[in-house]
Amino acid sequence: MSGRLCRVLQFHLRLYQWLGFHGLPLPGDGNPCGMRKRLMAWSLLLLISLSALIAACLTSGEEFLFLDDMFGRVNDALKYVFAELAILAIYLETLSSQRHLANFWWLHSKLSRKVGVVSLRSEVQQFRRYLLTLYGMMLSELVIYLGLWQVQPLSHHMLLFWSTYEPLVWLTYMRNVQFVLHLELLRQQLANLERELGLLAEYSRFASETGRSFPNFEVFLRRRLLQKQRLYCDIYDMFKCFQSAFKFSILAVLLTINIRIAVDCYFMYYSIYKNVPNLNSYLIVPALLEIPAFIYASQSCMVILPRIAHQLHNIVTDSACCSCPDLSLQIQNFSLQLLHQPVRIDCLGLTTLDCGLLTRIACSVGTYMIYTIQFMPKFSPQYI
Amino acid sequence: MSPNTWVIEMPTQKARAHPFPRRISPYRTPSRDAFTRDPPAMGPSPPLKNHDHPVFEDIRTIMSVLKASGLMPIYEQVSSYEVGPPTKTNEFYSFFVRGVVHALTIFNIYSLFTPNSAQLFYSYRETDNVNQWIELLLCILTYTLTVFVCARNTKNMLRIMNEILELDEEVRRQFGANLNQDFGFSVKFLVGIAASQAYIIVLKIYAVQGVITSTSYILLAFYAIQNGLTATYIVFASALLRIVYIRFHFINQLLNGYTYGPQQKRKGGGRRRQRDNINSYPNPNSNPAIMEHFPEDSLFIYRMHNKLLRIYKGINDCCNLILVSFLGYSFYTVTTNCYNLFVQITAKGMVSPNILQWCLAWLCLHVSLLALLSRSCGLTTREANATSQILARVYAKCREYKNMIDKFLTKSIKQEVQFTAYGFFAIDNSTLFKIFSAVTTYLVILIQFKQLEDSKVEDPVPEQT
Amino acid sequence: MAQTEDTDTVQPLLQQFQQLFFISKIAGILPQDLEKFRSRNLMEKSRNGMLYMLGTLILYVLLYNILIYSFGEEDRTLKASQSTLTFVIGLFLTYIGLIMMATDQLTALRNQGRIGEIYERIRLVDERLYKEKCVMDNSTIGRRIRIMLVMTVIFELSILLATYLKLVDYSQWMSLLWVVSAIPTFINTLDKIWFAVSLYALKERFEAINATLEELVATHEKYKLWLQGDQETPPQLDSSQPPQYDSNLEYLYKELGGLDMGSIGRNSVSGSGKNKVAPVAHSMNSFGEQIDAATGKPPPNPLASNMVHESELGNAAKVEDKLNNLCQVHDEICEIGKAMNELWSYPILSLMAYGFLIFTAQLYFLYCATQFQSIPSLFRSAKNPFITVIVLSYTSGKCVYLIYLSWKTSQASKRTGISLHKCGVVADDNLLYEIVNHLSLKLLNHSVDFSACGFFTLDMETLYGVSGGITSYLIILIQFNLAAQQAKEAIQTFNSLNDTAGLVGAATDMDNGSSTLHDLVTTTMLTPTG
Repeated sequence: MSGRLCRVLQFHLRLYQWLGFHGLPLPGDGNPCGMRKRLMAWSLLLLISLSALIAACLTSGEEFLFLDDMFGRVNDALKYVFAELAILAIYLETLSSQRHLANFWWLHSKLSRKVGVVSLRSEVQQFRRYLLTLYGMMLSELVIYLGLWQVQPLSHHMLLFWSTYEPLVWLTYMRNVQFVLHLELLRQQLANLERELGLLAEYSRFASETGRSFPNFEVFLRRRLLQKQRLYCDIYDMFKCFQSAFKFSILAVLLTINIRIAVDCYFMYYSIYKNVPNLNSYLIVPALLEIPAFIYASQSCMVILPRIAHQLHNIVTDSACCSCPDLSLQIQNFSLQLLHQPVRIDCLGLTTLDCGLLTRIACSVGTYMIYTIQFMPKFSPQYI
Repeated sequence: MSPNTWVIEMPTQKARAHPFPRRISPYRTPSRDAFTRDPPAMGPSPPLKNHDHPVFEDIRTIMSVLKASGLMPIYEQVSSYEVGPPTKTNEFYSFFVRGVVHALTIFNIYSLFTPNSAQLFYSYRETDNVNQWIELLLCILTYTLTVFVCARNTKNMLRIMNEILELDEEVRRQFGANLNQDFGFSVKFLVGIAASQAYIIVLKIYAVQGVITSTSYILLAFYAIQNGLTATYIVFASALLRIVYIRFHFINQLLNGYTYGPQQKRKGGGRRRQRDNINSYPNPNSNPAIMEHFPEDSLFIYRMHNKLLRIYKGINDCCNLILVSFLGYSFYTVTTNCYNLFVQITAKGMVSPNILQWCLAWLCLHVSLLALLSRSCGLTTREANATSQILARVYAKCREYKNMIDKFLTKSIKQEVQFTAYGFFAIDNSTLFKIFSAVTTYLVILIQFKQLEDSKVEDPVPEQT
Repeated sequence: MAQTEDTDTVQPLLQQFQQLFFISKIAGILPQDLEKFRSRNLMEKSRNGMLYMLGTLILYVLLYNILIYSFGEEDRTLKASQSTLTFVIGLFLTYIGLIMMATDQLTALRNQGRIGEIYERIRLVDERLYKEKCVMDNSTIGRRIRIMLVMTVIFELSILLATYLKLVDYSQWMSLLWVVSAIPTFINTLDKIWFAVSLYALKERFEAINATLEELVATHEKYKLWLQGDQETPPQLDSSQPPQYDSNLEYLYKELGGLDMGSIGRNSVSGSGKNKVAPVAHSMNSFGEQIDAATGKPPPNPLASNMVHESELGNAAKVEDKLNNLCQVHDEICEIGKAMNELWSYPILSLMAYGFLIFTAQLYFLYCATQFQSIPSLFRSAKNPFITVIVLSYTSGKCVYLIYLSWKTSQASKRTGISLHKCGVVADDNLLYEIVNHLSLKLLNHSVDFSACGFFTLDMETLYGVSGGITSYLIILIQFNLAAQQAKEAIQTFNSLNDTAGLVGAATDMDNGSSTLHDLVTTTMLTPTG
């Protein structure tokens, strides 16, 4: 059963298959070739139908867009256009970058070969971050919707707009959570590596402090290190595969969520200023949570690297029982390898996805808001 | 098999103790053919300069200005490679000058806040008046800071100078190289600063209506002196950086001789620095001959590089506060002057040549200073970082040499050298770019506002009349 | 004999540049001698070429000025009506194309001796690579040049024709001068094609080095497998081991992975053999055995009947030279990259400035045109959204492609270190480790990053910054434009409502304006820019 994925993964990957995000058959599927073709066709179908939906929304005379006011209309149109962009990026990438995705999962199955059957509980424990992100997001969205419907009567425009726009938003969120899943897998591998290196460091410290070890201890250490080096190489490949499998959609999803936040913030201010009661703005709360969730996942991947290097250098080389020049050579080699292969998650090299990005996003949204808010209301109502 | 690859045995000191210069510097006679020159002709002992040979001759002019204004200590020359602390009278003189400066500053601030200075601020509009005010205050702040920091760092400055001199002496002993260079730019800048300040004063005097009171004269003169001296200090810092740059460049050139250099090989070793070592090898391109002096040279280079880095850091520590305030001042001045210039140019029919020239003079001064500063910082930083890159190009056959190279390269992996403005940001060419992009952004915003104002002021008037 | 063989087999890169050189020569971008290039692929200084080039430069400047003059009549009326900023920016924008072109041509004049050197160095690099059994194929570069040329012509022609037919009044014969408006961008693009293609060639060389290293790894893995195969199973069987890992993924990996994943696959077999050894107490022994197997076996291999399985990495001393050479070539390519960057630094700076300004301006004027405001006559293409899209994609395509390419190149140069480490890890030999460590330190210090005069580096982060800059400028400009329009309308209605109170109104307006000014300045000062 070594090739099988654990149940949590199996379930969620199946979910992504249904959403058209995961164009690969899962282990255990019969006739993988046909399955893959069917999945690709399904993705294509989804892409075409969603694009058609957006096109229809943008062009139809119905009240999909906010009609009363040119400004609100442009805002809504902007949201649709960027949603279309995201959908396009997501599905095209699903169709085109299967090779990298396959490579990723292949490396994953290679790296995490488990013995025996793991209980569901421990699996949930293992993926708790991811599960929390996914279900927390769904729940908060749902709660806010229900709350809003209780408070606010649903107008025709709102019904049309939200019934068409919400699925798109939901798809981008799911894609975002899919990134989080992949990042979580990557993080687990890195954390494993770090733990094992920590163990090695502890062995060596124990051996050097007590002076007790078995013969050929340093050869053993060296072998283990070499194995870890190979492991790191594979993890790095996995990371590269993740990057190339998702580069465009990371950009598109982040941009879409970002634009939505900026536009909604502005619109919120606008409606407050014009004294239009509008509670829709609370809908951006899940969007506000999406970006940090993703960035937190990528950040927690990246911070492990210095810790790995730290553990590596904790391995004691000069001691009474083991003073092996080969070992220090190996350590040097590994640390140089770490220098050459930094795990730096960035979308297309544009910007590193760490917590600094959050500040930058907040800054840019704030600056734009100030520019726009400074002008729009000050002049118009004063004179007219 | 060394037990640990991270430790290399350093050759003993005696390897470096050469009785006479081994090499000719690339600087003094760059095109000299080494083979025509007989090694003993260089003389067994370095020609000892007289003690009256002044140190830092190349930046003498600027030094004397700074000494006179109390910004630099009037040091005593102990030998041609050492300077001593100033004598009591000289120290007192510096103290006195600084005291006068501070007194004048206080007077200046006092008159700024009282109607005494009203004459100088006749200006055309309210906002410009405020601008000039802020500019003046910034100028005063920068200069006062300069004086304070200089007074506090007297000892550090002397230490830095001594370190530079010591390094020069070592280079001289080892290679017979004289690392002095022409610092014509500093004199040119001095003249430029003086000229522009004088020009600005004249412009201002012409612009003022009525009889000028003596207070105004004092204010103006002191303002010009403040600006001039701050600018001079910046030029001085650039000159110091340039000195460091020359040293870095020297060791890089030295190291370059050991690189495999395919392009140099192609030219038959013509561009390779020829060396007349003791047993003047017939074929300088063969590997063993080149690598023969590598251990001692590389150790010397590492040592020098470390020293230079320390000096570089010392200079940075000495002037980074001054640099921060100067950059802020410059940024403000450039922005306001650009804005004024634009307003003047686009104002219909009432272009005042006086203000135009005033703005242009300020802009020229500050832009050229900013360019000079960022350029010398950028150059020095690049040269300092280039050492490891050049060393990476040295391919040694021998294991020990390799270890030596590795040692230095490992050290310099995470050691990114930078010249920072009090840790806020690194100063190099990109700083210039950032400053100008920020200036542009502010200008666009300001000008847009100006137009908004104008369109509202102007439009109703023609309809009324 | 060896020499001639070298020169025969290593095609000079410039051979692929024939058409491009011819067109550039005609257009007056390169002063070098045409005949020498044709016959011997050399770029040499030529006096006549220089004179010709200066002539073309002067001609273009003259023509462009005539163009601006003849089309500028509308602008003179514009100046009276429109805000000064729009006018000044418009004037600046009309000349930036000319400035860019002049920069390109003057830089080419300045560099005419040195460009040839660059290609000569690339040829030498090719020769060295050839000696390491790594042959560069330049034919893709020729294809690339042709594609780029065709793209340029298509873009230029479509912009020119569409604007001419739709937006220029072609009843007058002077309107033919509009053709001149395409000259600066065309010349600039040709110049940038030189740069881009040369950069691409460098990137290919980096990739060739990486491929050579990877191939070493792959052959060594085969070799190791073969050695293991003596003891256990033949390597062919590894695909018929479904219980080892899942058949689906195995299938996918075969289907999608292609060649390079194949090497990883074999790696996994050997790796899994080691992974099995988990308990500490036993592992040592088994590893000890394995060391013996790995180090002791190869040299006296009696079963060396199959000569295909031979790995260079098995012999550390022999491979040292090869790795050293590759490292040196890597460094040399980095140096060439730096030299090239230096040659083109001013043109790139001017191109980036041009791209930024034109992109912002075109969008802004598009906005102005939708609001029925007048725009400078040279930017009439902004009146039509479709043409605007073409112009924008052309301009941004140039800039982004250069940035992307230089980013890719530096990525490729960084990959070399990774490949080198793979060599070390696969061979697992102490001597090789030392070599790899030494070279890896060297590689860490080889830097190839492209910058525009040191002002900013050409990588994707700059692109991020630039797009942020464009957005904020657009927002500022559009917001101000909006505010000005609203203010104008408001004043007009205000005035028509009560004529007598006009002056009072103006006074209050001004108060308002300055307070807004104050607000905005304080808020913008507080928020960080960019």
